[in-house]
Amino acid sequence: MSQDEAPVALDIEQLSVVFDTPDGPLSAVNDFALEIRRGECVGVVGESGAGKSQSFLAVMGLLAANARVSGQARLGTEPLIGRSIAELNQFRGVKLSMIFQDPMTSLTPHMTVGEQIAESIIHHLKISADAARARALALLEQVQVTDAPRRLDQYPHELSGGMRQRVMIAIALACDPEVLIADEPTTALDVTIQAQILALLAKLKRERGMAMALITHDLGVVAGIADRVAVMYAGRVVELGTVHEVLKAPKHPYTAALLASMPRIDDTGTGPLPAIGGQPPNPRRLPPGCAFGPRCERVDETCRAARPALTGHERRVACHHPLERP
Amino acid sequence: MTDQAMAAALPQGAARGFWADAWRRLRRNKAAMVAASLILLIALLAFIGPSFSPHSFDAIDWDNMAVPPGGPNDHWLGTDRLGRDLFVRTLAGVQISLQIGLLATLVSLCIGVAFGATAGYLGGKIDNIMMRFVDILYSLPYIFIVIILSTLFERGNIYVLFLAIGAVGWLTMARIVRGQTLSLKRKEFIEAALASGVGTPGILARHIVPNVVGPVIIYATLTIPQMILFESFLSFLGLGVQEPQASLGSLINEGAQEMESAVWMLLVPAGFLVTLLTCFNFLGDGLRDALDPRDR
Amino acid sequence: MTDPLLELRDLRVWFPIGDGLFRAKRNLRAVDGIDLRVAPGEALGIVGESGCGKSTLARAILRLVRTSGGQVVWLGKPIEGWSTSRVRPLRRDMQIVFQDPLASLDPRMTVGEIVAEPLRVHARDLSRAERRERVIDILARVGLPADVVNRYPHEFSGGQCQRIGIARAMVLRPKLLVCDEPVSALDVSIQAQIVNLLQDLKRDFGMTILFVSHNLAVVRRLCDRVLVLYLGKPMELASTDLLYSQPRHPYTQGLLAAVPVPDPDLQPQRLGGALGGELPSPMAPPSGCVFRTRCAHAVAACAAAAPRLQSVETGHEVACDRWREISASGAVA
Repeated sequence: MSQDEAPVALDIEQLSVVFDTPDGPLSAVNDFALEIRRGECVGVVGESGAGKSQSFLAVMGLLAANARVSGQARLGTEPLIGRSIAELNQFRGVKLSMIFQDPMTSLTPHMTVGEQIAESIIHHLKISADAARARALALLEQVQVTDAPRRLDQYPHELSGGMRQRVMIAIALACDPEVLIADEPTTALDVTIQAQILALLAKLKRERGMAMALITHDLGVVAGIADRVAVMYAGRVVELGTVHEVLKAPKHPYTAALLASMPRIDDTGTGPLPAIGGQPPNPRRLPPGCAFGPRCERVDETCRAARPALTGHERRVACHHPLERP
Repeated sequence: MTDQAMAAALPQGAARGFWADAWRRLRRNKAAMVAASLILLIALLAFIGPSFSPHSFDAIDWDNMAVPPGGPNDHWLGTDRLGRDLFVRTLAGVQISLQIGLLATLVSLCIGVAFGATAGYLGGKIDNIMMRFVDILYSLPYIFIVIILSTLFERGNIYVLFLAIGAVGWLTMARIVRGQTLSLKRKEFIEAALASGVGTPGILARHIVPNVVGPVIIYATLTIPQMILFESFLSFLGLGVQEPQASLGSLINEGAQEMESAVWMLLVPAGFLVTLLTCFNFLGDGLRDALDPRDR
Repeated sequence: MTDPLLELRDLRVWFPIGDGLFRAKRNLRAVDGIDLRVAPGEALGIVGESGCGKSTLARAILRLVRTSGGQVVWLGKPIEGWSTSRVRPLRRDMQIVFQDPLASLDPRMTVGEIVAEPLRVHARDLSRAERRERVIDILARVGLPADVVNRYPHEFSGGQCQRIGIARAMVLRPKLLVCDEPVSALDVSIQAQIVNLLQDLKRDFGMTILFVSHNLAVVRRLCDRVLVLYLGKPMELASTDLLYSQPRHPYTQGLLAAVPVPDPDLQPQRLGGALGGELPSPMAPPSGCVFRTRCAHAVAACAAAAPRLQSVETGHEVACDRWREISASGAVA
């Protein structure tokens, strides 16, 4: 695959996040490692509490004050972890952008859409207000906002959820970032609007050659635009591979069980779903050994005794008894 | 589903109710716990302290007039200009101030919760009329009403007066409870109760009121010092407690007149007042941290 | 069709917006003319995107919102205009499960009190012991052990809270269970558990289910028939098989095509065919067919008159005057 030769845009190694809480330290992310190449979209999949958002908020330096982050993350050659806010602001919103689940709370209610896009452009690119406005208009057209000239002077509350997310994407793209982190960008949207936004993200990735991290809980979302997929469970990556490998021939029992338990729109079955038993683990009371062990059908003494390491090179899996497919 | 996996994920240990949780959080707050103990200590002292002293609050000691504390007599905190024991008078004042604070708060609490919960839950036109009524009362000058009330009632009957003050002071409580009720009303568990066929009184009593108890307790704790302060203010103006009865306010008033010659007559009651008010405010803040659901 | 359990005749729920004094009074037509017959034991899915009126419709049936017109007929009796006290006995036969599992449980009550609440209202002659027994029975039925009765909702995970909510709804053995997005707030690995539980309960108790959801894949798995709503109006009503294999309405086709499939061979192409445009403001819906502004097949005539549901074949109705011209190209399976 040609992406293997593309330079690494974002390189994350040994990233761990621990929150200091009144009830003691809470480990949210453990030994997270991922490299994202230019022009590549990596889907990061997991349920709530799996640590997928926390990993990337740590990279962005956006975690709450009670978070302790260790490990490394490099944007090209620039280290990101442990930098001051002033230093990070040279990259954030410029080379490294992020969009969030709820576009309403990410936009300032008292500023027009045009002002908000232009603000970021003027701040980082040091160009005139008129030039920034023209660029804002071009960006809105690029993210396929209908009636773009009129939208520039509208306030966020006058826009629909889908339009707001497009505006957020326009702001994120304002300074031609090398890496775009999309944290559940379509979760709050209706299904037809979700399809539009995903199609837009796929097109932007193709045209701009950005590196993209797509954080989601929906394997279907990943299937449409990701090149590779990392599956997270209880703060760790448990499986990594190309989207075909992971979705078509999952090796980790969790990935396989998750795929099997999801009702599919093209599935005519009406019997019971092969559900995963139990509940996602409480991060304060992780079981010994493999965190998925208590819910796993292949569990044995080895799994209860020792936590499996993430092994393999391009195709990685953290399981003592990975599934083998012909 | 695997039963073990299900069982493993169920809550373990003792059931943690809301109050047990809140109590745990409150206990961790040192300032609030110290404040609560001080309040208890002062209250205890106020009610049993005077019986340890040989003096009564209105007895005049002709031999010891305006003596400072620590003198060679049994007036531990000195006497006032008429030779009345300051220790006993101050504690009697604390007694009255605490009783008045609690009474007025209790009255404003009962009216405020009932009014606010009803207005908030019924909503619509009724809510509109009820809250405009509150707005009108708000816009009347408080002190003016109290002065009128104090002339209407027989002078010196401070309890009746404060029943009346409580009856005027419920406005903020009603607003707080109404706001809470409005947000609760939209919660799905209220809809669930409606769908189960629970009637309006049942919803108010079983779902709304228990859920507004937290904010109500916080606000009530902060209302007590306000009421104590207000009583002091009225007594300072000569509208409150009448001689020979004493409240912290009237004692401070007397003390202020002797400030230059006998400063302890001001410092002793003022010290108690400041300590009480500070403690109630600390306790209120602590309760807010312990009970506020936004924290959870 | 046997006698319906529930029948809706031209049901309307309009919310007045503006006070008529400073701003002109207008109506938001959340539900606008729904006709429906629900047979006993049937599982009917009500699908559509946000703002289509599906949750309002569910609440109107349960009389949790006031209707503006039309009739709700329960077991042959029109219950429209009945007083609250007259409706109360009916409530034991119609219960609801909510979207947000934690928000639907009173945080100050124990699980036992929550599940027992419908019994307190409708089965007053039960002794404490009998009530407790009923509560423990139904908790066991939804997969929770008896010792949860003394615990508080916040101690449970989302999936467990939803089981508690289902137990409360089922404790009176209702004839109708309305489920308002019961799995959308849950983690993916928990959704299947709850879907299976609902399926089991339906089989064992034979109740009727109204399943309101935007998740079309879950609806396909669970429901016998599906009603598609758009801006408060019915678009298509068909048996699950027909709706998913031969969707006739352009909106249904677009909706089905938009649901992501976890298959990298299929999904990229599916994204290409996404339905364009945005939901028009429900305050100012388009004239004629409300869907025409996003419809690739719309012609001038579509703006003139609103199409009504018309029969395509047995068990398949569509509200589109041009369904014959539109091929079932959007079919997905």
